[in-house]
Amino acid sequence: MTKMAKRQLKNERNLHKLFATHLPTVPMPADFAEHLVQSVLDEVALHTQNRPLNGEHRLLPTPKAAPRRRVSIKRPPQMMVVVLFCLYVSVLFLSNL
Amino acid sequence: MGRMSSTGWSEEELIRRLKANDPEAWAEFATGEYTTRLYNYLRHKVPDYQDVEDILQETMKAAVQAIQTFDGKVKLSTFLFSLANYKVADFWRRRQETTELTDIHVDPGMSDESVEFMEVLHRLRDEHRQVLLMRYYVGLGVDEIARILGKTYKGAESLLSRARAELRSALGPDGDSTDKELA
Repeated sequence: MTKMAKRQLKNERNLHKLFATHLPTVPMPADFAEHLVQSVLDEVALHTQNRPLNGEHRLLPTPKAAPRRRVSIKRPPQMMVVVLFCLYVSVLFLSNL
Repeated sequence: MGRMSSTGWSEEELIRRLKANDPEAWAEFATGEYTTRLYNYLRHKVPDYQDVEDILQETMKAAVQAIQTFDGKVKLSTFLFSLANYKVADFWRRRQETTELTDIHVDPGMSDESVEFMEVLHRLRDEHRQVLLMRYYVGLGVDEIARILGKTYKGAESLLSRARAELRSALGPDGDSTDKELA
């Protein structure tokens, strides 16, 4: 370990000691702890009601998807396209006369 | 922070039980070491005890909702402190206050030096105080702090370094005797 790393480690230790000395950890007040546990358990119960856990939700039948409506785009028959094209060409031809 | 469960559960076992919504595990978690440390940390983040209790309660409720999405890639303490940090930010937003915390919680029986140290700590920049408390009071690792604050490891290290420098300067040459060896 380099000298600098040793010094850094020592500083870290001193800072931990400094905070532990001046900022003691106090326990939560007993009545609040009790209230906290109860509110957490209420939340857990609420959450459990809303969402089955432990993979139970995987055992539920998969809801069937609504039948898909098939929408097809009707294309004009090829013959119709040919006829229209011929009409267009003839109109162009006649207009040039 | 080592083993946190008085029931002897490892962190993995506790997480598994919390995810299964085991009431015993949640009761244990709500009063366990992490929550007690979070309670103490919050005492230095918000003005009064009622606020501390409200935020802790909100954080625990958020933990119940979020535990199913917790992937275990970070420690449970990181998960809990991240949620708490959001709640603290919400608290200050609701208050629409941008001023820094001025009141300090002085416990009966605290020595004059400790009160002085707390005053020094509360004069520091908010983010510096936060990072020092996380590192040296709560005992979180630099990697955990980085994740909680949404910084890179280097960024968190650099912030800690600046925070230490500000603390050193605020304590001054006549500061606490335990600080004399701070480089």
